Amino acid sequence: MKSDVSLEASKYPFKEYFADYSVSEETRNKLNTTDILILPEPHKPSKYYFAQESLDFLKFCKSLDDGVNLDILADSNRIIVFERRSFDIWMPTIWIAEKVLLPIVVGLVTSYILRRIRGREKEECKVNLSIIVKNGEESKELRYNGDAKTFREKFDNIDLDNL
Amino acid sequence: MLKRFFEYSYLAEVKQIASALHDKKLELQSYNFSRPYEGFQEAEALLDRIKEYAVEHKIEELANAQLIARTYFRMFCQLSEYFKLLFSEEYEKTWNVLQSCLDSAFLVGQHTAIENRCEVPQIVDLLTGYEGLYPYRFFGSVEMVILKSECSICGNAFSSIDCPHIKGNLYWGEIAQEIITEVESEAVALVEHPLDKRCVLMISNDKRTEKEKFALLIAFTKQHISPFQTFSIEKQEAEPHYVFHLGTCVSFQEN
Repeated sequence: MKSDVSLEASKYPFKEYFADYSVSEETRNKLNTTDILILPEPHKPSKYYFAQESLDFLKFCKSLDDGVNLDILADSNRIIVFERRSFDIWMPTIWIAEKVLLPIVVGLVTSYILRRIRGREKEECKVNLSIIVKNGEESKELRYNGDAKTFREKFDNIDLDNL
Repeated sequence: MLKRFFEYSYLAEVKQIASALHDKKLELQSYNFSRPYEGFQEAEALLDRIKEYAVEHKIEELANAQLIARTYFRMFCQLSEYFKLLFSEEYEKTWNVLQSCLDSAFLVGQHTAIENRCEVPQIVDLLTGYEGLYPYRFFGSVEMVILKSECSICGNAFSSIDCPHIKGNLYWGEIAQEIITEVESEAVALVEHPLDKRCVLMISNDKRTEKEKFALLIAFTKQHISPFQTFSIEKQEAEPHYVFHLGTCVSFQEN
């Protein structure tokens, strides 16, 4: 049976994104100063769109006011969202500066999913998400495409030493 | 949130809403679907007064709770309208009303703890059962690129850091919504589980009559089962191709 979670070396095109969108130095520098970043997804040549839940997830995390250093990697005038009118949850690609932050992100995403499906708990709902974990010069990407209800359980089984 | 609303019973308007809801539920229980929205306009005027009171006295919880109570009341009216249309054999029209009623039920559920949702989960089960009787299996789901949008609460760009409002959350009796002002349509996907099931896909040269299209729905209504009886549908190879398994009946509660 195909697993809902996959792990591979990240090929996120930071350089191309920064060049294609003439991303400001201030925004680029967030990679050095922020713990958790929401990234746009390469959509087609030279187009980068944020996943449907990106802004609500960002606002949700900020509303918790729990001291997590989280931001969005885009100049304020270049935040473009790709919306799919589906009940499934299209979470953004989330970049984290250190693997020890993974449990925090998993906790935030879990809370967000529970909020999102509240009132429709019985319905089937899939979550689509990528988490890029920086580890020195290399990065790995965890992808999840599976049931909203088993998201937490699947991520709790991940051994941080393998990242 | 629903329970909290009725806890403000020191307000005469809250008591009046509870009484009007009681009447509406009695109407439904006696299968009287002739005037689905009777009493709702008066209830809305009372709810408007409650909202004004909440804002004046800075009680955001009450302002939000009145919106949920309003939606809860509307849900029963929509349920009544659904059965009115269904028993008038206006099958095509019933689909959107069913979806509106489900939307109301989902909104109440979203802002109310599971144990305080009263009849709402049963109504969702009931209507989900009815959904299965329609010939709609796939829906159109628009994929689009949102270039510009505003927040319905503060008017700022939805993507700006000046807007802290989260879509679907309640603020002083209003739901935060993203108002899209500039969009590029990318595609229409064929999905089984869209956010909005009103966009049904139909074959352009479908020559079937309404009765043929809605044969299963008609067959079910001809069984003269209580409209509030929950049920599930079992598909089988041999005739009859569908078997209905009955569940519990929606039990209307006092608020």
